[in-house]
Amino acid sequence: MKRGGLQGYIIRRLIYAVLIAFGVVTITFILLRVGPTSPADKYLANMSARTQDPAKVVAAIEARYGLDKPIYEQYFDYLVNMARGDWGWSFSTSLPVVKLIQRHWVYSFQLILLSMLFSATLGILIGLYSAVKQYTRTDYFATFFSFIGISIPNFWLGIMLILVFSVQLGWFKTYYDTSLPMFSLANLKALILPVITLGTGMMAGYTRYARSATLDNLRKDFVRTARAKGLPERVVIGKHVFRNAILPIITIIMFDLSGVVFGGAYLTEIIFGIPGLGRVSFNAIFANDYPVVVTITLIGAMVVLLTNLATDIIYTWLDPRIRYD
Amino acid sequence: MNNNLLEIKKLKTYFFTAKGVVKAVDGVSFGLRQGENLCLVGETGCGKTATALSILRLIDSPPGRIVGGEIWYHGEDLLKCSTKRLRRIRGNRIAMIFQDPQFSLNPVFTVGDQIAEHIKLHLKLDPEQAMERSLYLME
Amino acid sequence: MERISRKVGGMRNFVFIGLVMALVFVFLLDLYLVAQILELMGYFYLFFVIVIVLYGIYPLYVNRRLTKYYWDRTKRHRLSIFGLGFVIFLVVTALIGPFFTQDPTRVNFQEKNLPPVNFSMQQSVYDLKTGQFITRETPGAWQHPLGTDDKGRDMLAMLVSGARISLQVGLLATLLAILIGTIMGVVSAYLGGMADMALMRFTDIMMTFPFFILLVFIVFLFGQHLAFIILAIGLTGWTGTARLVRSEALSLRTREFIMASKSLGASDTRIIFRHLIPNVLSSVIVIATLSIPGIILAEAALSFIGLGDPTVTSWGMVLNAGQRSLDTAWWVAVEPGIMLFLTVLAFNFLGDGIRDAFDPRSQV
Repeated sequence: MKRGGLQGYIIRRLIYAVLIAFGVVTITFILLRVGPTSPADKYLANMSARTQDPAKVVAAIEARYGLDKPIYEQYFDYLVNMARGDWGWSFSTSLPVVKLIQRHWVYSFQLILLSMLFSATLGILIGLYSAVKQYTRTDYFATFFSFIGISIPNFWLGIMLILVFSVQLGWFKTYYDTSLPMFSLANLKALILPVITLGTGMMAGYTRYARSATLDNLRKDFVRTARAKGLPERVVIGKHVFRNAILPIITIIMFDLSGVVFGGAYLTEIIFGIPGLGRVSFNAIFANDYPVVVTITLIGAMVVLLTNLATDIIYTWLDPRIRYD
Repeated sequence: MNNNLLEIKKLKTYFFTAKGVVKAVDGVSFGLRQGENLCLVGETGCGKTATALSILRLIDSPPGRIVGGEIWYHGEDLLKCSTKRLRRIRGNRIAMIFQDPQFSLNPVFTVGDQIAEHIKLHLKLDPEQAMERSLYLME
Repeated sequence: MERISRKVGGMRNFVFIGLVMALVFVFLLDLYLVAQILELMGYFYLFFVIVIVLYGIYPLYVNRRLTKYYWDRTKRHRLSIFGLGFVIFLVVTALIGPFFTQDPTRVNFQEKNLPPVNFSMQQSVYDLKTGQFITRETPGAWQHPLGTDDKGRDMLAMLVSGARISLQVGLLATLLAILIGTIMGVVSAYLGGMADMALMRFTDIMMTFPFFILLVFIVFLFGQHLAFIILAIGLTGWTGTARLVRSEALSLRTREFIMASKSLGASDTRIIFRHLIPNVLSSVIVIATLSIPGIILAEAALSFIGLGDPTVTSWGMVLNAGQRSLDTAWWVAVEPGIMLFLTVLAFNFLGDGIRDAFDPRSQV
């Protein structure tokens, strides 16, 4: 009975995720077709301009991309192509889009991962501490700084950091060096400023959530019971309060992904010249290389979808109450 | 010192709220002998729970505070002893059972876990033994 | 007329729909006639004014006692008063500033890279006489109190223009997003069942797209005119509001006064407009004020990466120029950033204050 409930929940959640994925792809398709055809036209123009016989190329591309077929056939082909991994051709880099993604996703991944680790750990710890020591000076400082942190535009912060630490002090290079091996200290050093840029805003938000989640729980009765049992304070806070507070915190952190994190990462990559997917998409926009832009948009949505799914499933493990839904 | 196990003398616990001071316990005194059962009876809000919580110093400190009195247990004034000593007494020598298990138990841990935790703390058993004991107690 | 106004939930809604239809009529006329009656932004402004007056100012005026109560509570939050003050300052600057400053797009290479007043910068300049680069100390001058950028444009003028843009986008796009979100949320909560599920699934799908990436995508597809950008932000930023409003409305739906209305035979529309929306309004105001900073930053980020409207000077655009001249003219990057930061801070303070003022549980 217990297993059925949990398994049923996961299966339902998976089906839901697939439906959402469909919806996402459909909406992207609609946007593409509804929009003024200028990007597609420019793309066609670009492609055909590089050959001798533009008319022939245009016809071939139209046939290839099925632009002459009825809408529902186009939609079907589109879905099939997406599933098959044929994500188009990027003429600005002369690569299949898949290859392009393969080359660049690591950079985004390392930036986002490091920033999230940095901001989540610090944010939660500071928020927790701030809530436990409410009304003390530390609390006021932490609250004040988190307010500042969420108000600073992160792209400006990046530029200011570059100004102070790269231009004036010369401690870091102004531009990300891609020749560095991934798992080296030098790479880590080069990532310090970007991670601080992306992470500060996130951390400020997490501190606020952690503080309020902890505060909510500190007054609850079970905390009093725990104390009445004679448990040392650090266990009361570290085990009982924390376990309850961490649930909403994780939810918010994970679901914030689609807002602050990806948008911020996009900008951070552009400012620091990190060749991640954001930067690739940015370059593609100005080259009118629209298969790349479309694909990266979809990838963004899919990653959010997967993380939401994973979070929901992890939640069932963390919060035993959910299983019996 | 008489032969009372627990002696409360003129206990005063006040709650300082934004709208004024609530004198939940205002000069309460009573004693309890070994082997004796004592019941505090009263209407809702008369300060029964506040008195009980005061004994173990479990009053929520920003609004509430024990402002006066003495609580003698085994020759010690519980209101003046160290937190370390208090923790050894809590749940071990003086235990409290709360009214509403829906709220007074931690919702993310099982009941067995929480009882075992209590046992582990004071009886110093290892996790399996503590769990066994806890299950035994629940039967 | 009485019957129609009752159907839509009151005289006020009737007037609103009437005015909007008139606006649409003028818009269509504009589209098909040769002479332009109003520019696109003008329509946005009028719409904004109509909504604010009918649903903001009028209720506030009628319920003067309530308004005073909320105002008193907000006043106690000192920080939020600072926020309000700064916002008012910004609005005034945006409205009358452009009349007092120079043309922000006027390029003058003779005067490029001038530092602000009281600062001076070492610059190496190519001296025509000796044919070499010499370093010269260039002080700031009152003619360009905040300095100039690398093309000689006056910083003060650009910042004032930027204030205008940020406020326009901030207020209008937020209005649009809030409108869409509130209607989605309330309708979804009220109708329940299949409609609710369908609308929420749609909201989920839209929420799965990362906000900024979707925004960039739409601007890339549809163009870079300021009105489109406002539209794009409004059409992508409503999901959070929809969720929040829906949960509020859901909790209201089961309250007695709604059931009482229903049992008295009120129509669905009437209940939605007359009962649900006014009660959700206080949350909506809080959500709106707290959304404005995010939207201002979104527009700034768009202009920063070059996807903004190239015909207007916005703070993001200045920041972009600033990044290129970090070593020669650092003020070009610092100044717009400070403005953005202060603006966001101000709205955050204000929003926090308003939220605490409206929350019945907090003792201000």
